Amino acid sequence: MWKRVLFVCLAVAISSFAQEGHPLSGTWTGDWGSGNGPRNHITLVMNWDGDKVTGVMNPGPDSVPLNVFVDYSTWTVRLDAESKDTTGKAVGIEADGKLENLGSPRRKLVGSWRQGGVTGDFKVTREQ
Amino acid sequence: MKLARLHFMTIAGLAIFFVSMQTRAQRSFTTAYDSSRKVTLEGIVTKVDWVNPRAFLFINVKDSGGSISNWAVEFGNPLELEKNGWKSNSLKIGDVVSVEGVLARGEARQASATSVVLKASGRKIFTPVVARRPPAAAAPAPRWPNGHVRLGPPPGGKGYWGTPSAKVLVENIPAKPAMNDDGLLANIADIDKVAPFKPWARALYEFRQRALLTDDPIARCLPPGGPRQFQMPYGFQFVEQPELGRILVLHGGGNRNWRIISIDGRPAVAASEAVASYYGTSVGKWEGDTLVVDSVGFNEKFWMTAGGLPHTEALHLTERFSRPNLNTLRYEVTVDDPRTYTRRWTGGWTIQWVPDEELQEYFCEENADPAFNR
Repeated sequence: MWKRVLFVCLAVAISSFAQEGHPLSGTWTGDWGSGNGPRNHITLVMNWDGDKVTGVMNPGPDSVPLNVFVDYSTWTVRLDAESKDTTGKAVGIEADGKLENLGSPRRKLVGSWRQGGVTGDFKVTREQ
Repeated sequence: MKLARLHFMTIAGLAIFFVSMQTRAQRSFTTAYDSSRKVTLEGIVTKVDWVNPRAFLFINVKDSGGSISNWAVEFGNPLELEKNGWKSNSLKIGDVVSVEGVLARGEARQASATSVVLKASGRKIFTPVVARRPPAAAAPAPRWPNGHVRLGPPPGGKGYWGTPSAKVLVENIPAKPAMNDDGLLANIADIDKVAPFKPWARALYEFRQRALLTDDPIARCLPPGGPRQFQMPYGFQFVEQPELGRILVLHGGGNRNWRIISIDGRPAVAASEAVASYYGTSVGKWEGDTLVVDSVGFNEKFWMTAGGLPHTEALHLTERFSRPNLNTLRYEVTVDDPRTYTRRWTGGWTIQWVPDEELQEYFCEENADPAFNR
């Protein structure tokens, strides 16, 4: 029990440290899904290189490069990528989201997610 | 097992401490108060909090219906008040006071006083009654035996640097934008006069301005990295240690932090090799009477000035310190962050010498902001 309490305390404590640079830079975790169907965990790692935001989805052996487009007038973000299904067939991913709680260290990116023929929603939170 | 529990308690305690840092925040005046909402309160003093950097008195105020509510009234900085002869016991529990001031933002029962009057005597209290110490007499800058300008006090003397001529860093251009001491622009359309922003940085700066600087990391007691360290209340001091090849910068504000400037001839550090930190890795050298300091290795956890100027880990600062006379420090900083700004740009200000005094003790975490916490 105390381990769980400790984890919560540390998680909250760590979250109090901000990242005040480019709002998209960093690691974001959350999920996407459609309706009442299963939710699919996603991790997005994005970085501002001075000219553009680069990114990768689900880092590791199955990582997928992300193309990231940001409209700074509205803080809306478009992500697109090409993943593969279990048979190795290419599956396009398109997501349109909006940054919420922009000033918060644990800001969120929330919006719609289309993967293959499925349309749903997604929500990721910036980790620090 | 006992050790594990002790460990747990320690870490949990630290976690709670960090959380409390957020809620016992040091907010800028703009963030905390709405100057357009004037208020007059009359009530009975129930408590006086003589806490640096802001003193509060609490009063029970009766409304027209007879209900009593407790208000927190901020009325000044204890260090400044004491310099003017006021003490924590200048006001007693049970005294009846009349307060004029402005209301806090939101629903909190809190005000910032512009005037506190004792009803019994009509005496105004907590107002400046002693003339401030005049600036030190004009004199040349003190020097070390090797001829270098001393950035600290003359031999045998004491003092520190306080009272910056500007509390916000903006680019040195003829038509500087109007803004208050918290860095809030008088006209949001003046954003492009502040610095040569890249689009994302401009949008983020505008967001912070429109949010009245609410998310300022200073409000969470995080250190004032970058140029902001020389704009904080309570000043700073240089401790020169030529025998160790370094200069320490001690901060009176910003939680009594310090910063090390190496002046032992080592080469400037590559940003990629520096551990990212609030004050960066600094290497300095004297160019005539000017100390030129090159700093890289900044983290992205701070605003480098009031008002919300963003930066990235690519930030590279070149600072120039000179002391044309005993009483004046000139500070100039060139900001080079190609991920945030379209070009290098420069700003600067002067800072006045505070003679015959030492830096006062100040810890942000100790700063209660009672009304926001109840």
